[in-house]
Amino acid sequence: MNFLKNITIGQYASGDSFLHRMDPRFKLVILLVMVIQCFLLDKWLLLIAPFMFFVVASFLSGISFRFIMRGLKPVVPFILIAFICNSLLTPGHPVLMWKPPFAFSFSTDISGPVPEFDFFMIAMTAEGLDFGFFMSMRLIIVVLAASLFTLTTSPTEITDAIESLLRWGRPIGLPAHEIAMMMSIALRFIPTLTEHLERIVCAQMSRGADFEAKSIIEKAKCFIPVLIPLFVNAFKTAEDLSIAMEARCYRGGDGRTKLRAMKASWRDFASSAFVAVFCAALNYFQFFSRSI
Amino acid sequence: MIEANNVSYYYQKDSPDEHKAVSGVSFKIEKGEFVVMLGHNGSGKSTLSRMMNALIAPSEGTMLVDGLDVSDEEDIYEVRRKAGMVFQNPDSQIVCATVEEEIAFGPGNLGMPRDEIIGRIDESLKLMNLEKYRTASPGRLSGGQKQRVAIASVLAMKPDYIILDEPTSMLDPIGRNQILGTLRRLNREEGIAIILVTQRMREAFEGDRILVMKKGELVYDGEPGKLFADRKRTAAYSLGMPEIELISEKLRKKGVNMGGFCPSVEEAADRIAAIYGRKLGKSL
Ligand SMILES: Nc1ncnc2c1ncn2[C@@H]1O[C@H](COP(=O)(O)OP(=O)(O)OP(=O)(O)O)[C@@H](O)[C@H]1O
Ligand SMILES: [Mg+2]
Repeated sequence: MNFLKNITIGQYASGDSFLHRMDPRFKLVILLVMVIQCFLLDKWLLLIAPFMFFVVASFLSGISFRFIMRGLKPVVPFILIAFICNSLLTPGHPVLMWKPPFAFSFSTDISGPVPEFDFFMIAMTAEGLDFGFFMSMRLIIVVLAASLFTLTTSPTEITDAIESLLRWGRPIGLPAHEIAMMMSIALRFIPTLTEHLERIVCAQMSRGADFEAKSIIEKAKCFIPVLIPLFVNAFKTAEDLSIAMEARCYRGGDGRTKLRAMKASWRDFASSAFVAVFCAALNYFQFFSRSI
Repeated sequence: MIEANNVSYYYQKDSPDEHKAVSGVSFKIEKGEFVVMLGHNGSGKSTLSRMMNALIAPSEGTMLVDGLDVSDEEDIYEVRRKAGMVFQNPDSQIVCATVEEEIAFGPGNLGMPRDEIIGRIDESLKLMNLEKYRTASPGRLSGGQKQRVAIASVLAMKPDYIILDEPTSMLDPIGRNQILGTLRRLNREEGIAIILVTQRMREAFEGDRILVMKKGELVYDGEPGKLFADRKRTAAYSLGMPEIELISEKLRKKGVNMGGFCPSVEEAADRIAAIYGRKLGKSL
């Protein structure tokens, strides 16, 4: 069995590059700012700029571009589906259409009035293609950005950064340390729980459980005897772990020393300044192009 | 010194399900000793060891670690530092994503300065021969290596006592021997007192003193050899025999003069060699 074997959430490639050396807090904030910026843009032509930004950034990561691209493979089907659905379902001028029993036909007339919607025709519209292209670009950029972040930031750095950023919310009662601790333990236990899951599935199969059932309902039924022991196991592990943590003097985040200190350097300030100028320029162009 | 004075522990105290897991236990363990604790399932070994580490406070009696009372809220972190604890399951006691962070977990909780923590990591890794795995993810290590990481992360707090609750029961023979060898070395070279809880009779002879628990009571405190020579008592305490003694017994029945109780493989080999040598007329 290899359930979940291909999950690479938070996959980290150790290294010593510009991106690796950046302060994780700055990386995280820049990532968020850039993603939000992408969602503020409304033309796919403008999205080329942030795309190029992350392409350049991936050269600064010291990781081969091919390796990064290989990590994007699993999302390709989603991007294709999003593209096709958008191009077919957006109303507008049809460019490529198919109306049974006739053959395919093309049209280049995209300036006239929008023709009436034909219920029996499957058609890609010019507007749909434009929008689909736009959505796909967005998705690609977000996935590329996120995987660049996790490739160059170790899980510990990520949780440290989140803890440090959440600390701003402490005055309103946000348990920053606890949230970060839960996240890091969850990450640490993914492999352990995967192993439990595989063991349970094998045990059930050896008793004749059939996981190759056809209907979704049957499939779901098969998983009940898997999930219950999995949860029981997880709770037992959680209890053992909390005892083991207490035995080593754990008492929450106050007064705790971290092994690594996060320190901002010129890299972080330079990149932040660049991102600020970059976003300002993009917003200016967008506003400018609209007013024409 | 770990000192238990008439210690008892009740689970679900004052409820209908009240259950006395430890009753009226007293003993003293000096710094530098190697003590093995035996007992049938449910005899209260784990409960007793958790009290030595201040994870639970005795319901009756007192437990003192170097004079600090484990029931005293103010002292529990010092007690936990002095008397480190290693558990049975390597997978559910490792908290962090890399070996070095795992070792830094304890000292970090104590609020130690960063430079000192790094020094402690170096030392502990060296003591446990884990230098190669400093940045490795614990999930990728073998069971024996994981337990060594667990011991290393206790060592980083510079304990005077280490309590191990069946640390080898989930390991293969190689991992088990590695751990036992490590414990012996820590005891002899670093002077750390070891309290080893185990179900394996062979491990009973690792130390020079055993404690035997039966139904929550401490029924034997002394040399292992003396107890195991008395078949009636070991049976009464539901203790088995080390495998090598079972073989010696078979040999005795077949008329081989194996002598009395045989505690270790080395001892058995010596005795057999002596007998065989006498027969051949030379010393082996
Ligand atoms: N959390 C708990 N709640 C209630 N009873 C418990 C709890 N933990 C242990 N006990 C009971 O206390 C008694 C002693 O348990 P303990 O775990 O200390 O024994 P043990 O000697 O370590 O056994 P084993 O060899 O199985 O590890 C047992 O009868 C057990 O059922
Ligand atoms: Mg136990």
